[in-house]
Amino acid sequence: MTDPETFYRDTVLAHSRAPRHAGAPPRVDASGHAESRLCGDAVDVFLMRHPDGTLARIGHRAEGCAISIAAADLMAETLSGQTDDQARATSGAFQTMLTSGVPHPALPPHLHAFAGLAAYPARRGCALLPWQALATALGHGPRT
Amino acid sequence: MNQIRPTSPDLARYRADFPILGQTVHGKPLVYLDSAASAQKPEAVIAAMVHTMRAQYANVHRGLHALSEAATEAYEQTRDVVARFLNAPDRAEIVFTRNSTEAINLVAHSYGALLKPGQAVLISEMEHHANIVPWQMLRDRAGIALRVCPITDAGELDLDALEAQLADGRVGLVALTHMSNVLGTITPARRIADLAHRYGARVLFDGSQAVVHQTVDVQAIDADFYVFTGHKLYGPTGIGVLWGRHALLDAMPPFLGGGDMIDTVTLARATWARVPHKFEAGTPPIIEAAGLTAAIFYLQAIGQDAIAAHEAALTDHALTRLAEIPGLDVIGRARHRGGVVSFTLAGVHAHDIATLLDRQGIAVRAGHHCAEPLMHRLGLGSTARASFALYTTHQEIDALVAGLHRVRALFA
Ligand SMILES: Cc1ncc(COP(=O)(O)O)c(C=O)c1O
Repeated sequence: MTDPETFYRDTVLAHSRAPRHAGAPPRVDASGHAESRLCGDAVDVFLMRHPDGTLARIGHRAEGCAISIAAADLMAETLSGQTDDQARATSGAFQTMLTSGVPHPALPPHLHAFAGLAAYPARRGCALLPWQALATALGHGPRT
Repeated sequence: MNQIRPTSPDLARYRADFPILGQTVHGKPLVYLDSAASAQKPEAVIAAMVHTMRAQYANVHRGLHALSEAATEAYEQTRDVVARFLNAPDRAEIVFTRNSTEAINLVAHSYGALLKPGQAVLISEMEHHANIVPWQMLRDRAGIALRVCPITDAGELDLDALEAQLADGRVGLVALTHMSNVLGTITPARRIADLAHRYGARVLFDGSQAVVHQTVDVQAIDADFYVFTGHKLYGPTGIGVLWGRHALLDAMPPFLGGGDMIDTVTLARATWARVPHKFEAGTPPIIEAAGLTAAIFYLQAIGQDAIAAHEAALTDHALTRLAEIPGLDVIGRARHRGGVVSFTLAGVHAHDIATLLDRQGIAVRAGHHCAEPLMHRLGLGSTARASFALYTTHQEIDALVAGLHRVRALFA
């Protein structure tokens, strides 16, 4: 991975210190929760939809390490405007990238730094936690 | 700490006995501060295990040939070595298991079978999951109550509460850690045993951490059961020890059934071998036993008191240096403690600390340390933990402190 200090400075801390999407949006159409058994981290994800069903705003409440908070915030940023199927595909691409260690072309560049976590299997779960919460939220939400 | 401790004897020369410690990690010299999770192995242990496999390996207790006899003798010698290590009165009181966890499960199963519904087992808030879950399983299986002794904010056992919980005479067994793997607290074993016995209870100590850092004498502390695990004692994985009083072991039904633990078997029934063999079903950890003997000899050659003094000096140094870091809180302030220091750093999650330290070659543990109820009691999700061993140096603690300053600066 690029030096983890660089990863922390440029990606993780930039988004975990003052997360832009923290908290629930004004209306919550669906939500999901995920917890890590390993460290007790917990993430809630809240979805607010446009009338056409696409994701209008995604909010999160993440309690845990800086990686899980940054991952939640960047996930929220990435997914707004997507349909549920697009969000699922984005999620799949993110998971693939965390295993392969190769930045995924289908993902926006601001997520690419997470590819380095492939070298940190114990921390992969932290970055995936919000995406797990998302999967629950999408599972309960209306399909587009 | 204002207590005066003996100066650290120079154990630096023993560091070279641990081949793994010469490694670099991410291009940095390895600073291994995770010995409480598992200790590294000296050459003597590695060599003893290799020698067993190369020169005197066969199954034990069943061969009439030379190799089997040699292997049996070596395996049984480990029982003598462990008996002397714990000052057990009788070598037959030493039962080999896979680890501490299995030893505690054995007692929960077999001593638990002698407890009556309405009786209770008493544990504490600072137990490792290994000394919680087997008792919950016993509770759910056999209608045995489970009581929990609180700890003080300093991280010591609340002995008044312990006595209060014993007072009605229903506690059949007190099962407590002899040293906390999170707080470093060393519990007053003899006082606990006296209290337990006064109210008619037996006492088990989880010595997984304690045996590594101090001399343990099961007679002096008046224990009834004592367990430890080989891999934390510079020995191999796959071998643990249960010591129990002969009369208790004798009265207990077997744990696992199979070969080696029987006297006679017909298709209708079996009769049990005598202790300790009654509790050692199947082929035992033969190679690991050779490693455990070597580990104990190794510790004794250095001197357990010298090691304890060295670790006390390291712990003092760590507590002094860690106090220099703004926002750092050491968790647990027990007066009597061993070389395990847990801490939190304001604004930085323990996992982030561990990842960033790892990049500097420093290995610490982060998480709940298999003691979730304790974390809950302390109101913490996780902590970082540095733990010390005979091969740890003052410079390594200084490296940890420098590493933590760097983490803080990054998060500032
Ligand atoms: C206090 C304590 N008890 C029990 C255990 C369990 O040891 P093992 O996993 O070897 O059974 C540990 C170590 O993980 C420990 O620190």
